[in-house]
Amino acid sequence: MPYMRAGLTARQQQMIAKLADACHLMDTLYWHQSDLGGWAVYHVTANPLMEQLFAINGSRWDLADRNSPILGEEPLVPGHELYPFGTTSAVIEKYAASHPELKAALYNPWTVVRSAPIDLAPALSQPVASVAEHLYTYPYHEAYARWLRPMAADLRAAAKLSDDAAFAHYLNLRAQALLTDDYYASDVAWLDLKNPKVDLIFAPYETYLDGVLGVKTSYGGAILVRNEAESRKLYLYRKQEAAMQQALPIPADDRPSKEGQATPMEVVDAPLRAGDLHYGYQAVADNLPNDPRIHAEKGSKKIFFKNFMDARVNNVVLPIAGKMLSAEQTKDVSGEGYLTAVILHEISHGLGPAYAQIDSKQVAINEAIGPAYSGLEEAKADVTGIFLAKWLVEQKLLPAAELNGIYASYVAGIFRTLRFGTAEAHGRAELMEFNVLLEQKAISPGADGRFTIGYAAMPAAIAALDKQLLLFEAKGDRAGVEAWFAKYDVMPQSLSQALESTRDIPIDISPVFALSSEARP
Amino acid sequence: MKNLSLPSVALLFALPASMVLALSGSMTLAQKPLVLHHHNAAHQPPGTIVIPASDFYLNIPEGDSNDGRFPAGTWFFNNNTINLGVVDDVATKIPVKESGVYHLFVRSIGTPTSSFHVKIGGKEDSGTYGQGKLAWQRGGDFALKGGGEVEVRLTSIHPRPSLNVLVLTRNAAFKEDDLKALELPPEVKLLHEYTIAPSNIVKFGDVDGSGKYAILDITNDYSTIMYANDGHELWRWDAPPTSRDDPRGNEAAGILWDFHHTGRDELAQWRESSDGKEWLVLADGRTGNVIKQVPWPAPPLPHVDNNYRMAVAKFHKDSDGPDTLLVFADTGGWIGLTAYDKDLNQLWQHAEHRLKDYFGHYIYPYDINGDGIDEVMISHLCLDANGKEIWNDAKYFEDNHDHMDAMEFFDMNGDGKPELVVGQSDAGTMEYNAQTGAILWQNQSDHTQQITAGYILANSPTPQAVANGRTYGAPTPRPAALQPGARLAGAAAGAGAAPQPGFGRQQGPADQIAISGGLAAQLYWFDNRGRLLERWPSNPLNGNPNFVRGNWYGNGKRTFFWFRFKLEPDGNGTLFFKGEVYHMFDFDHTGADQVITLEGGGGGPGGGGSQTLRVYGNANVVPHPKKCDAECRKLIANHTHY
Repeated sequence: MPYMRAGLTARQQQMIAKLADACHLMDTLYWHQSDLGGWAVYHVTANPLMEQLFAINGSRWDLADRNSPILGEEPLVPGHELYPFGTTSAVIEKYAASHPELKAALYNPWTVVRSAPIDLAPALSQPVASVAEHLYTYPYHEAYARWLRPMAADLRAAAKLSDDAAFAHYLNLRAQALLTDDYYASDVAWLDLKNPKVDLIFAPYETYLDGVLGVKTSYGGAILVRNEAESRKLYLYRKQEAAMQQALPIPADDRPSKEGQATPMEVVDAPLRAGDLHYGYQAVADNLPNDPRIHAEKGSKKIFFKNFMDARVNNVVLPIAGKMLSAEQTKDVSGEGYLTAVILHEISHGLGPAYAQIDSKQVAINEAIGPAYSGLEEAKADVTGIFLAKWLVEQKLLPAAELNGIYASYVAGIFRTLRFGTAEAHGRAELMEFNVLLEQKAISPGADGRFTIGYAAMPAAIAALDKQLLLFEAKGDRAGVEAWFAKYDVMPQSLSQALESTRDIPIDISPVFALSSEARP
Repeated sequence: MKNLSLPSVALLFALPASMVLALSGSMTLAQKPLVLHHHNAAHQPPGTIVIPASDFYLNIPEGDSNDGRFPAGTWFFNNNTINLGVVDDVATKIPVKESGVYHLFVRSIGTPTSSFHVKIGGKEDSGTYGQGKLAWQRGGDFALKGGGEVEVRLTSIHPRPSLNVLVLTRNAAFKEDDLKALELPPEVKLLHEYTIAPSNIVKFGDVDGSGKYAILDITNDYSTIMYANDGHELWRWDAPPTSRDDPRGNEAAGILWDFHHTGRDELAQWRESSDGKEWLVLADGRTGNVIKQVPWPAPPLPHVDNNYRMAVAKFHKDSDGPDTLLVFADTGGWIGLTAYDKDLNQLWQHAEHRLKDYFGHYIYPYDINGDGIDEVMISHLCLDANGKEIWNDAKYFEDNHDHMDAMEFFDMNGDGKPELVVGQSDAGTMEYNAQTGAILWQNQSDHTQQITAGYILANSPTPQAVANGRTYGAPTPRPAALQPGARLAGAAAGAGAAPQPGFGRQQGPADQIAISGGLAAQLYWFDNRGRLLERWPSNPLNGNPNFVRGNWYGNGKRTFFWFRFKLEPDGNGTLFFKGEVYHMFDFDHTGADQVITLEGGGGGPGGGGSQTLRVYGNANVVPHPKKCDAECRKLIANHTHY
């Protein structure tokens, strides 16, 4: 990924250099959340292909091969380094039941769990969770202080170099948040930024590493440089967000108002990523923060990574469509259709219920759903986005002629994701979506092994699936979600055979950042 | 962070990791690859070129194999074949000293439909070989030019014939029987041959103070037989029948050591009594009579698994050698390492609840820091003489499958301190800082269970690590005669049976070689920074062999052996022995070390028979006896075999 200095002042470049330093520290921190053994071997392996696989996956587990280990035989550790080895949700639940005073800390998104004191000599191993006598929790800002302190210092130094007072304010608040684990104020300041030229994602937001409780976050970061031309095109969607919320096929009580929430959107180029944005799946868009309080109060910021999207569409999506869709429908797939589907996906992360209603109480949806939440939320965003594309056409805000292109691009996007593997939340979500659409005859396999989209059947199938997924969230129906995903978790033979035809097409990009190695300005 | 030398946007293709890693061998050569030369695995009398099957292993194609189960009662040159399981040609280059017309002879065997042809220097012989029963056939004549090399190619292959040996000779009257005097390289001399009961493990020690090594055979049913140095049975202890709840896992623990400084080794051993209780027994090495017994340091039976080991360690600086007995007990769920004094008083115990194999299979006592006191390692856990943790890499490898299998302590970087080179299961070959447990390098080498390290290659200023990379092929169907429960035709029954022409191997069907499948292995050569130098042979040979190394030439330098081969200074291997290497020490007190090979017996269903234990020495060694000090005896006693 090139680092385009055009349009950046010298001070902005100096500021970006400081932010890059912080990102490099975050990469190291992320490995300590993800896979200590992988990190140790990554640095010393004499095998260049092993090194490359570590650089892609951020752990020893191959996301593109159902999380099979690339080093040794250790299966994916569900809790990575966030919990003691062998921790299951049952272990935590049992311990929390007998130690109610620790429950909040055990379930806290910003704590690590250990089976021995954290200051135990590094030589000494910790008991496996199932036989440990005690569990200990440590807030991230203590457990990871070794990296967080210099990261905060880098952010503060960057703030001093910023000519954008609001951005400097945000950087200072974010530095403080790193040292306190309280991201609320800095998230608010981030959402209040007005079209910043340089922006920064830098927080523990996502829960992809937590396969035990699905609540603990991993650090992710990205330096963002605003793409002015593309950002202007988003204006259409920004104006419609509140109306989109009210158009969703669920009861009004589950559609909290989005009126007055001018949720920011940015189209950016990202010259550097860190942590969970750096490794594994290379997102082309993001919707942050994830704090439900902020969703309810201010919405969220949608970010579209133009340089990553261009690389994906050109190298992956269009070639796949050429091999897996009928020849007639292949021509419907387009970069524009794909961009629209992605934009609507990210908007949809901020739509729908804000909380689950369980026994008349408001419960955070991720806590209610548990480990399946990540997959559910990705599926909801996908399907709601496609549902809203039809709604935009009905509102005459999108030309009707573009709808089939959006459907075709969405399906081509599913093919792309499934080649990436089904172990990760997006892949599992889209396998479920594909199977439901196949069941509803909105997608059909052809005799030549290619698929045909039933454009006429698509709106009803999408609406029904969207309603189901939104209600899962509204009700916090953990059992229902798990059963639903289990039902649609098997790849049909027609799909696996068709995917075979795309073996010569890359499944993703593996970015190498010029900013990592360039000389400082 | 490391910076990869990749394009600005690298494209990730949908290759499974296993496929990507398979490519690694050809992409890791950061140092000049090895140049492998021909080495004779047979005597080469003037005017005659003997080409044993092993000469073709260097470039053995995937799908071909070696040896196998030979027909009952049949002699095979070098006890060795190449079995041509696929249609791919296989070739070797042979030095030709003298010019002249050479007559081709081929000794081969096959099935009714198998066959191959031979090309010498590009000229194809008209004969058809490798069809039907074992045959010695005369082929055509070839004019060869001396002073160079000639290619010998096996071609037009209809699987699956087996080649035993080719001969190119200017002597038209050369006979099959003439081969018997030409087996193995001239420097290899068979010194002793013992027929023993099928063993689970074999140990060596001086049990009667005679200075001669007796042979302890803990058998597959966990009975114990002590053979004197001349091969006669001194005593045996018959284990009680296995109880239903007693899994009697993969190891029978026992060790010979002079715990009480009497000049006679005692036997420390695991035994189970008829009431199903397990005991740590100290027995008189001369008689097997129990001197003392204490409860075995493990929870009562039944266990998920039994992997038991013993070793001796020097835990006191003023001791003149090992003074402590270490007992490792992996029951699958509870794993303990327990230290005892000479009278079986427990000194300390380290125990953890872990899945089987978590701490590997072996105990490695070694004076890592050079203070005159051993430390002890079980897999990634390093303890001091008091059982206190020094380092523990559990944080890196928490899964029980990723244990360290085999360890070698060697100064790889020339700093005067030993590094720890490890064959670490599927994690490959790794080097650790032995003092701290920090990982220094890693590379892939399939499933790695055996390892060695040292200055092996000629003219290399730095040492090498060599790993036995184990693979799992599809098992070849067993012939009906070898189905579980079937009796092996021609196999010897029990101890004391006469040696068989098949050298104790399990026997295959009478008219063909039964090719083993499943386990296979090849060597990975690494430089001292973990960079792959070469793999040898080009594809794995069937078996799961071990390394031994020692003072073969009596010159104080170490020579390395693997499987049936000597590792040559260029990285090639020369077939040296008729069986697989098992141990190496100065068995005969000559001042040089001898190689002990062990083969045959099977032991499982359909196995039975006997085992052949041979002692080979270097024919050119002039004996100059040297005392085996405490460290030397420790290496003999603690030797183990996977």
